[in-house]
Amino acid sequence: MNVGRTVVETPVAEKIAALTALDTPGVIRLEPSISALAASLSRRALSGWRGPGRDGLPPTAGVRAEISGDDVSVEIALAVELGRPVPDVAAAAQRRVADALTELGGFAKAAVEILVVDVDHI
Amino acid sequence: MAIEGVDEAYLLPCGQDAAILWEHVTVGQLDEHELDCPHCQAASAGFVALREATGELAEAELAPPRDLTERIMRAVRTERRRDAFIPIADNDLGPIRVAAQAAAVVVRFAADQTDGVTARSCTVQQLPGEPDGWCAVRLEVALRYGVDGMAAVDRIRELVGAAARELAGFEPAWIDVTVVDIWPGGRGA
Amino acid sequence: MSLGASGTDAADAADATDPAGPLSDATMVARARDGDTRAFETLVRRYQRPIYRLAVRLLGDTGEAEDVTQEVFVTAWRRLPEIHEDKAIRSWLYRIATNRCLNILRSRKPVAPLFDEAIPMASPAASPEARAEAHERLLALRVALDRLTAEQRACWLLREVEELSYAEIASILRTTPQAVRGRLARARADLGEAMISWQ
Repeated sequence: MNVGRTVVETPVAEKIAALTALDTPGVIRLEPSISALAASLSRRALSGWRGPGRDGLPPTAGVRAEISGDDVSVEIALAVELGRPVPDVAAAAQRRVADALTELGGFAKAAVEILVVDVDHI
Repeated sequence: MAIEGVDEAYLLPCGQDAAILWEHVTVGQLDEHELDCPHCQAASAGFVALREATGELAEAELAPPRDLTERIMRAVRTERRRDAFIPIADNDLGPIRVAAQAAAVVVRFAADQTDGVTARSCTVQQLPGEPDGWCAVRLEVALRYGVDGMAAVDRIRELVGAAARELAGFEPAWIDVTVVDIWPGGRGA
Repeated sequence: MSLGASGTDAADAADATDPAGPLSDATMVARARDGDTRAFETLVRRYQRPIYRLAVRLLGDTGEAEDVTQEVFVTAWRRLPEIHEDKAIRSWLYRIATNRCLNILRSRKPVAPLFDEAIPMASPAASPEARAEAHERLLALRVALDRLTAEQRACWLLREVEELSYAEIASILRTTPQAVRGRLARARADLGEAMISWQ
């Protein structure tokens, strides 16, 4: 039976990845870079954003997704709480994000690259 | 334009140098002329009022908005260099990499746990030609005066080695510790 | 060199007053230069108050002063590799802030706004009369300060409120300690005169 195809757009995939990563114990924040911000801004032409350091960063800043067919690959830049084992926290975030993208996003396969950009107190 | 310095001397109508009168008002000792002269009297009253108002201005609370630190730090974080990453894992889902600067934070944190030791500068670098995650650590520390340097460095190596493997996820193949400063301990230590 | 304790968080001020201590500026600058944002945050917390205070009093506008304070620290972060003397961060921050404010003032239209900073009342312990008098006196000083040239005002604030040395001020304003002394004498004379007419 053909029930049609569910289309998940890139910003939605990024949002799923961002929220899931932030929900992982030991992940304290996402880490947007200036170039990533610029890319996400030009793609979505967000209005009302007043520059880094101001309020209102896009909620997915720090995450970049690319969809190709039924697969998705995401890169997530994040900060881990100081004192927690970085490899464990990063691996947990990676696993959760991949699961969320396949279960909630409906992707066949999800590749997740984790960049731990900072280690910091909460 | 007047030449700055001596030529900027500001004279009262009686010929007294205002800077000298200011000094006298500051120490509370006016000379005979200053006590008699109406110009000096008026000017010194102004200086007294100025000193009081200055104290009030200096003490007035003038705090930046509470969220300013966070705004500054958000801007700072986006400007961080992102050129050096250490690969610490690569599984079926994809690679995990740690910024060299984040690895250095863990190293400093570990070194700081040693009594009498404060970490200063620190770099962590993937060793070229070695397996992923094999790194050279270069650490500068300051020691409290009186701390046994050799013992402290041994302890630092131990703690840094453990933290690198367990907390940061890289293998410290080389740990270089340099003592760059001594700080005085409390109570004449 | 001591830090003006009135304007800083007490704990940070205590750390910073010990220039050789474990949490000294030198330690924090060395760490921040390696990209340690936590160390940099310590410096931000330590110095944002005095920098903001100076900017408000030079510019007379709290919104602009916030922007300047943010710019000063982001600039400092970018240019940390240029600091060779780790202990000199305080004076270096003052330099960036002063020059940024002076540039803003130069590019402004001649009509300068009056201070929009709320004028605090004197200590609640004082009598109502004493408080009113202190309030008036402070207002007189603010108005008089606004009439100084921007350079004179900077000079006066750095010395009398921020308590920097003549040598530090000279290096911030790219001039000589003698010239600082001269400008300061002139500023005090003008301010003193303004205070007479207020009495």
